[in-house]
Amino acid sequence: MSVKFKPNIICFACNWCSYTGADMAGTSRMKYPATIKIIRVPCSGRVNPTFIMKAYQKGADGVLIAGCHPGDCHYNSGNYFAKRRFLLATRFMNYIGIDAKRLRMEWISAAEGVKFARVMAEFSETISELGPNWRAREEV
Amino acid sequence: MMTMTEKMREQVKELFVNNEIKLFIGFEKGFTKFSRIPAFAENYDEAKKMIIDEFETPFLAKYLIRELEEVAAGIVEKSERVAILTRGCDYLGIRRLIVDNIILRENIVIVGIPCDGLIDVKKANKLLGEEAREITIDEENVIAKGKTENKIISKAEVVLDRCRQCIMCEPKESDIMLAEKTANVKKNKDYSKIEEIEKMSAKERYEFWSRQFERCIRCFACRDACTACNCRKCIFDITEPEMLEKTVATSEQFMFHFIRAFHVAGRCSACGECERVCPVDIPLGLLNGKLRKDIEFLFNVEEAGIPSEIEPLGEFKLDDPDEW
Amino acid sequence: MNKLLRSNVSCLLKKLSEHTEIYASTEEDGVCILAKLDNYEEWTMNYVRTANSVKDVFFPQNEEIMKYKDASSDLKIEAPKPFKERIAFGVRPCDAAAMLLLDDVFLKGEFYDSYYKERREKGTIITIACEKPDQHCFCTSFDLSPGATEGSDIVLYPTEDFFLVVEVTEKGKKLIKDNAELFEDIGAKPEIVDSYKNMRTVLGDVCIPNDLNEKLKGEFDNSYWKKIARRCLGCGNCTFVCPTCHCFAVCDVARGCDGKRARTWDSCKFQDFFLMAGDHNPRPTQIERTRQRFMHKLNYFKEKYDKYQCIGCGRCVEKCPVGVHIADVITHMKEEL
Repeated sequence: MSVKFKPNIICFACNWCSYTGADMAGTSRMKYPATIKIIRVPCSGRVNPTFIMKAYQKGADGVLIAGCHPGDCHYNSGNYFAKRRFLLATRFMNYIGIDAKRLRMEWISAAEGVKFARVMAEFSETISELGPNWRAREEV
Repeated sequence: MMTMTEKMREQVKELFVNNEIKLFIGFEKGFTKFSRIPAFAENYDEAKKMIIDEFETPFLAKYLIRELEEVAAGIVEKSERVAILTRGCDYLGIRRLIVDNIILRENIVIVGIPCDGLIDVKKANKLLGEEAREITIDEENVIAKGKTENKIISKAEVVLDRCRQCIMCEPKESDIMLAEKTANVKKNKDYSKIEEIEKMSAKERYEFWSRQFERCIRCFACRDACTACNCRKCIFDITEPEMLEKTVATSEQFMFHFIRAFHVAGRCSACGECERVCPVDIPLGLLNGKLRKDIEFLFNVEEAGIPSEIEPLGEFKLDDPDEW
Repeated sequence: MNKLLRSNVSCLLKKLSEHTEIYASTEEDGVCILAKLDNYEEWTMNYVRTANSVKDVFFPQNEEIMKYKDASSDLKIEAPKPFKERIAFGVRPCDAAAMLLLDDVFLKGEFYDSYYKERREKGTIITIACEKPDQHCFCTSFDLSPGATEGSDIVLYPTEDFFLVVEVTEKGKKLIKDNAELFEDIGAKPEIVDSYKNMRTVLGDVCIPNDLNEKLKGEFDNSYWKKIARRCLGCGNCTFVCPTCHCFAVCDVARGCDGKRARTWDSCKFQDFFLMAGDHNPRPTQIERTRQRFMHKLNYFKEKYDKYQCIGCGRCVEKCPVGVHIADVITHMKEEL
């Protein structure tokens, strides 16, 4: 019997919306895959593209960045900057050979526990299909 | 007619006599034939050996950081000035430093040189079939003298690759201009090599870049030569947290090149210096070029190489594209 | 003396690869490097010097010293796997001679470096003499020549259609004996060897006085260091491509409770090379670092091992982006002092 591949997914969640959204999903007793590890950041604008690369290097199969909806940023515009950066970063990672499907950005507000659970399930499914990421991963 | 070198000497003499500058940065002949190296003159006598010609030269803009460090830190008088020979590409570098608040415009005297593209000695040698003993450059042709035969090559054939994609052939603003000549080399934005890589499959792309990056010896020359890399403390030098370990495994190489390229995203002026200094010829221009290309396409920037007050990643528009 | 047909080289490499790892000069995207060879047709002679030197084969940039697993409960330490026999093919005479300098550092004296020793013992260097030294070469300044045999096990002297084979060490003799069918005895041909040995490099007249190190002793504060350091960008290019530079750092790479300890090259040109605990840096600017590099090569090393730590391969000269030239330094110091 083959064991189904369990991916390692890192989710950078913005403190004000998406992380609270994850809380919402939790308190509402919604289920989402345990493959996702959440790292709380003050704002999606805090996520340096280096973090994503580092995640891949240290063994992540997929990276998800979750922030507030455009216009809702706690700091007014952090997510707009993040958006520009990720438009560039996804294309650039694709260019150096790391599948763009492994990187995803989503807007999830504090009230959207349902969306949070759905996105996580979807993304986990995508990554499971893609299989483990060996590109740019360190060998220990 | 006065040559540019003579004109430069005259101007530099005047600057030193009038006590306008404390330092002049230019080029002199290197120890190896045809090599041009940076030269520093603190008085007119030292500047006499300097020359201007069309052989490949290093970039000088980066030296301004070190030379004006004390001025920026307020250790010496604010009025001290440094004069620097500036081609269009150097100008973009200087502009970068000014925009980044590393140096102040009033501390520099820009001595401008119009430029039609510099000569690649390696290409000339290749066409000649041996190492040239002497190379003379005139208006249109390059004459390479070999052991027995001479070869006349048209300039366009041996111009540096990076000069073919030049986006600024003479400095936009200057204090002194050494010649008045609008460049006549055709400048084309050329992203064809990048498009070629884009067309590959993900696996091919990864293999291509792995092969390139594995050659990297991590000498950091690309960082040290780049004017956009002007952080006071570079992330690669910080040990806590250690973003980049000292081992040179493939993953670390990816990490290094990703960080380096992304840190100059939207700030790279396409001068090609990183490619020139690389000892193992990694096509770093293809990384920086891809970022420039995407910035131009995604954010409607006309020319990503020219430094603007607000860089593309430092601003946003509400109608930025939505698909990842 | 034997001869080896050019067409037989791939054959020889293929045969040797059955028991050994082959490192040979190959062209990769227009850059000629010395790398592990998989396809034996790919070796090339289209270079003056490879971008990396033979140092890579015996003293790699990144070398695992040990691995540890599960440090939390039951600590397991793994030593690196024993090295395979290896052959470096197509090395230039200057690079081969540089290995003798590394031997001084790593093997001579009270302590030796076991990893380096094992690699050296299991390694064979097959050198190809230089047909066309270029403007950066100055090996003749150090009593070497484009046909020098120092440090090599076998030297191949290229002629029009074959290589003249000269075995230098027992190891080399054995290799030829084991593959005798590919070689052909053609009797003594000293004139070919001599023509290589008498060749002068373009910069060959940069003679180094034997007492340069004595003279340099008092020149710690010479203004010349300041002059060249002003140009230096501070990259580690010159030290990493140099076949004789051997400074290294030891670092740990860990993930959770597993990890490894590795030895990597380090460069005196880097600002963090001298950085001490408490943020003190005894060589704070590029002036001290540049001085250190040249003083080590031309003074300290000579005092310790009675040789200059340079063999004139010209790599640092070719690769330096701003034209800091060791022959320039030597010439200047010679004239000034």
